[in-house]
Amino acid sequence: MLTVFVDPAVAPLDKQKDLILKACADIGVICDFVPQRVERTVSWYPPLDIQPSAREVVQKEIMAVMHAEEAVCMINSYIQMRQGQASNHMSLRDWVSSLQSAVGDKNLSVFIVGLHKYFSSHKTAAKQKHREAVTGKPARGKNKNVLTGPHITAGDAEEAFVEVQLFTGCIIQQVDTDEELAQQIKLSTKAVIEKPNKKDRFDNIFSFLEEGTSGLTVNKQGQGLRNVWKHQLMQLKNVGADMADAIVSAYPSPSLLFQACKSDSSSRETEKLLSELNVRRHASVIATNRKVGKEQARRLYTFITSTDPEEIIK
Amino acid sequence: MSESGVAASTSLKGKRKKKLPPNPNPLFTQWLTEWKQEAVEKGWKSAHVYAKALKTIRLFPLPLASGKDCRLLQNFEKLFHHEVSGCNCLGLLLCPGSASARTSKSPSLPNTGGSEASASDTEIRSSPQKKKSRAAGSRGREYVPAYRSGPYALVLTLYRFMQDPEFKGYMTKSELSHAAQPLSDKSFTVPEPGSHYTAWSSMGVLIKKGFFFKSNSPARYSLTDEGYLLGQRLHSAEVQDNVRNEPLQVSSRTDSSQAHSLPPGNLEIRSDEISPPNFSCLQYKDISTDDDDDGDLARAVTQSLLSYSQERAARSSVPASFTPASRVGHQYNSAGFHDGAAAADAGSDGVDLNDSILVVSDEDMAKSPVLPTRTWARFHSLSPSQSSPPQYTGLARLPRSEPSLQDEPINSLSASSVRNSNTDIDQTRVHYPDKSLHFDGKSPSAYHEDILEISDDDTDKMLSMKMDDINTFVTKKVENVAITNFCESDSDELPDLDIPLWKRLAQKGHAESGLLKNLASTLAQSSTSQKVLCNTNQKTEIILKHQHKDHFSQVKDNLAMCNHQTNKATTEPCNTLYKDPIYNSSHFAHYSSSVLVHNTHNLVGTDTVGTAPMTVLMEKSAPGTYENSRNGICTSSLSTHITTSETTSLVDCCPSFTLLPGSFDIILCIDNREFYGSKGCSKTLLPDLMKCGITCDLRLLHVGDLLWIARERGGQRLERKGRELVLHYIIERKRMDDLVSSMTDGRMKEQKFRLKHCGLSEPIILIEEYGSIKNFSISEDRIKQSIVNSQVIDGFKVKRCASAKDAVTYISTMTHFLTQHYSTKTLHAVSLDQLKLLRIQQPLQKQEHYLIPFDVFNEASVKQKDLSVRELFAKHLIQVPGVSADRAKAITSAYPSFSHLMTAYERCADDKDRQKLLSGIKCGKKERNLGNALSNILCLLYTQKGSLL
Repeated sequence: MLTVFVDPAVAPLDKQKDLILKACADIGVICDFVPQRVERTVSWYPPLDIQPSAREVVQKEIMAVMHAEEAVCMINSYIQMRQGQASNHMSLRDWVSSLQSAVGDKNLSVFIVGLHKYFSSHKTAAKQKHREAVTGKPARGKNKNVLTGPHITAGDAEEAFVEVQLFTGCIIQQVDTDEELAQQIKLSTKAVIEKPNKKDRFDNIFSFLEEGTSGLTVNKQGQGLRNVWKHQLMQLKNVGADMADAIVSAYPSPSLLFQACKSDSSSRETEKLLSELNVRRHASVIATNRKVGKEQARRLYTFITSTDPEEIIK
Repeated sequence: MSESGVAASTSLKGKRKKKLPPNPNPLFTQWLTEWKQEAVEKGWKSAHVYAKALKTIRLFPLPLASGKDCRLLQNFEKLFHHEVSGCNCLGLLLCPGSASARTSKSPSLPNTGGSEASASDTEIRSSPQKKKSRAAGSRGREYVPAYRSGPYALVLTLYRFMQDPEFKGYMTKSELSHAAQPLSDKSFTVPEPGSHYTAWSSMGVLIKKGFFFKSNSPARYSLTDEGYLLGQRLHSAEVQDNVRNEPLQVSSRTDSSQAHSLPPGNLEIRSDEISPPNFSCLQYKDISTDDDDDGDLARAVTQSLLSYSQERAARSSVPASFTPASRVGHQYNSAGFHDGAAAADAGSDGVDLNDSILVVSDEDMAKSPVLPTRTWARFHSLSPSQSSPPQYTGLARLPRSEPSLQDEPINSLSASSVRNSNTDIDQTRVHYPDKSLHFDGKSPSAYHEDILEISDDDTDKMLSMKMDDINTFVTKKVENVAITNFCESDSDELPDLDIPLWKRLAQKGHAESGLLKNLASTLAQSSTSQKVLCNTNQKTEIILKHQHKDHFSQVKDNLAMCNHQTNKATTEPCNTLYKDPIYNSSHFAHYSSSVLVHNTHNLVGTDTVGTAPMTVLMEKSAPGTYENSRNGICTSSLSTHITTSETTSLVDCCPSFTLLPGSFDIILCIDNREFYGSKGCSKTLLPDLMKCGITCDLRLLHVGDLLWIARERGGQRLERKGRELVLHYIIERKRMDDLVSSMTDGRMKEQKFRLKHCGLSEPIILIEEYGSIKNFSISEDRIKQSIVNSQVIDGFKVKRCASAKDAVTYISTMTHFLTQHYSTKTLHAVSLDQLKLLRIQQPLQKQEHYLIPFDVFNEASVKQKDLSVRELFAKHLIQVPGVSADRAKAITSAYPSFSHLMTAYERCADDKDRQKLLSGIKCGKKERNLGNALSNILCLLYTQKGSLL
């Protein structure tokens, strides 16, 4: 079973720990709070029986989590630096770079928890202040919104994030609550588990996304092949289902078409015949009739007869 | 309904109406009310069921005897189910009399403790209390619009307008909402997702509360007295607030704008320094004695220098280049400088040549602003002939140590050795990279024209440059150490670009050792000589300074040799235009085993920044030449080395052109469909971005929605479009609803695929939240999982934004940053394949970036490309269930086209052979057989004479 190692600094409170434990239990993985080599990180350890290549893939992922207070300090120090002031605190970019150098060639994703809450509490405070200013009376109720620490705006944060992105190549993501963090860990874990199987899904062998039409089935007797033939024809440029139907009804199998094309290779009679085929669209009143057309016929004919595999079908 | 109601009442007129009890089932009603309240309080969904049942029972005119009877009524069935499934009240409904039993039996009711009466009492007591408190609250608390809310903006705006003595007394809706928008966080025109209300909707409340007065049609809005007072208070509060926050806010704002507008680094500071070379000299000395660790520092120095020189150029060289003399100056003497005259004579008089060089170098320091234009002029004069490659010849002054090369015959193509030597001088002059650079970058558009035309390939010149350096270095080596020392003492005259860049090279060599196995070894070999070279790594000029007269003949010979080499190179179209310093170095490493090799290591790196502009100049002067040399300047010996070295095979990126710092703008490109698409109200991206002051360009993008290009400046004026290069970043923007629909119809996969293969290294998926994530056709978890998968599994950068506004902020911030950081970079155009080969990340800090031209990019990313016969055949095969891409690949490699396969089938003797024709094909990495079953099906498909089933 896969194990998620969470650095205790990721979830300093018991409540947070519980949430993460619960999220991990949901998907049947073990969660362990062990101090990690790099602070505030989450990493994954695959079960022992996994293939070495898959093990590598799983261990290549790492996630870093930071809570809003520190993030605000870091963003603030970025702002200070931008203004040319010295800052004794490390900036967000410094932090991410240090993480990157610490984790080596792993794929790092960075999350900040609760920044949204920080901004909204500041917004509430601003509203309260405004109200006090307008009414001239102190607001009723408990003044719990005594905000401490540096004040940054959402724009500042965005700037700091973009800086980090451009210089470290790491996009900082946000989660609003501890629950969301737990969920994020859960989602990441699931993705990490899937990664060894899926990671090559866009590494193409051909220059196109190779995916067969889903839902086509053929049994041993060859039932369903007609449909396959139709879908094959639809791979040609600008050939839709209607046109493919028309061609299939004239040449119900590839070999028939091949024979036809081959028998008149000098006169290209078949090409003409193909282009003259009627294509019926829709039914009843709105039905339209048109021809397959020269272009499509030429493409199909080229494809069937060409012996030069590199010939481009224009 | 109302009609029927009316009809009923009219038909009943005059007839006796049965008097119905107003509330026939008080007890049921009460219970249901209580349950409903409870459910509402606890947020249960059953509240809805209770409400419906309550509605029915209120409408039902007859008293019901028992709870069971209630089942007759609409909406109660559900309630019963609900209750049966473990909730509290069924039994109670069934025996309505036992009210006390109800409370005691119902465990989940809050007030189980007492009798029903007491329970309802508490209910009754508690709810009015709440109401009272609320009522008291609303009475006690006067209405003040929340900060930056809709009403706040409306009141404040109109109030401020009223301060204007010429105010007409009212505002229309459009005027008001337009003027108020900046004061509100909410939009006055676009409702939030899932809601119909905009900030304007608050106008209704304001009118109701008597702050606003609405009259006429079309409506005119004005403030009432009350509203005016409120506006006044809001205004004063705002002013107070501003006073309190002003310093901070303003400073941060100006700072940010500064940060955006200014290039990074210490450019500003440097530009005021009078003698940056001295500064960098110190650095240089440090570095030259130190090891690679100082690379960063050195690089920083280079950059600062570079920017310094740019700045200087911007100030000084521009007017100079406007002077007619420099423009027309096709004669050496027209500029009237001593060195120009000397250059003219140089061929015949070696002394003069050297002298002129000295003068030139002096002038370089003294009159740097004038220099570029002069150089320029002289290039015109020096190489009027189209065919002469002399510009490069300087590079090839071959060292004495290689007599074998000297023996080679002078090539006929080389114009004249005299000329060559002249250009040689020029080259060394131009070798001040910073100056020529700024000249090029910042010169007025008149020069642009030329530059545009000529700057098609630089690398060859770069190469030549390097060779030049090599030669000088070698000669220098041949000289003696004394000279070296002298050079060191003289080093304040050096632009000093060499060392840092060399350092960079070395760094790179380490960092990208995977790429540079060969280089690494050579580096190791040459490590000893490098140390020496650190010291000797000087400018050609200086070397020339210390060259004796008798060197001149030597130089001449070398030049001839060089020409020869150049021509040789042009004859073979080998793709060895080395742009990348690494490659250059590795390439040179193979050049020969002589000392040259080691020298090159130092030199190659140095030139990338500096030489590009120079080469541009040279191209101008000899359009024909560069045509010749574009295929590469390399000797046959070189090319053999190239073929053997794996590094070079990777990076033969000859940029087709180069954009220099300052000669381009960064522009954001937006896909047409983001603006013209079907969903009218969601197309606010472009207008919003333009409001942020972003330069946008709307065009058709075949992949992605947004990307950034560097567009050459002054393009329009020159009757041809400025050339454009695509930066590394591309954004696929997905609003949440869009994401969901593209997930369901499979577009997402396709888009991801294309995004991954478009060639840009930083594909970003920008996900914009829209409404609640819970309300889509796909479950929340799946959507989120898919987003995470895009990042973790597919390796995309995923950026999430809470709203369209956030997305605009993100994009505009990105644009500002990119503009700021790319403005100082040199951008080289390469082809798509080369870019893909480069693969290595090109971090922002790098000075040189290899990018593809926009049109190339867009053409390559067209959705439906024309396929080859083989590809189409493979596509056909994939349609057959069970045939994967791997298998299709295997089949098409055995039978590359449809007709190949059909012919093969025809050749088969019998059915059995046909059935087994494909079964033995090895598929995939594991070389598995295709298998009988699949072979059978394919056989059926392709050989069946009759109609398929």
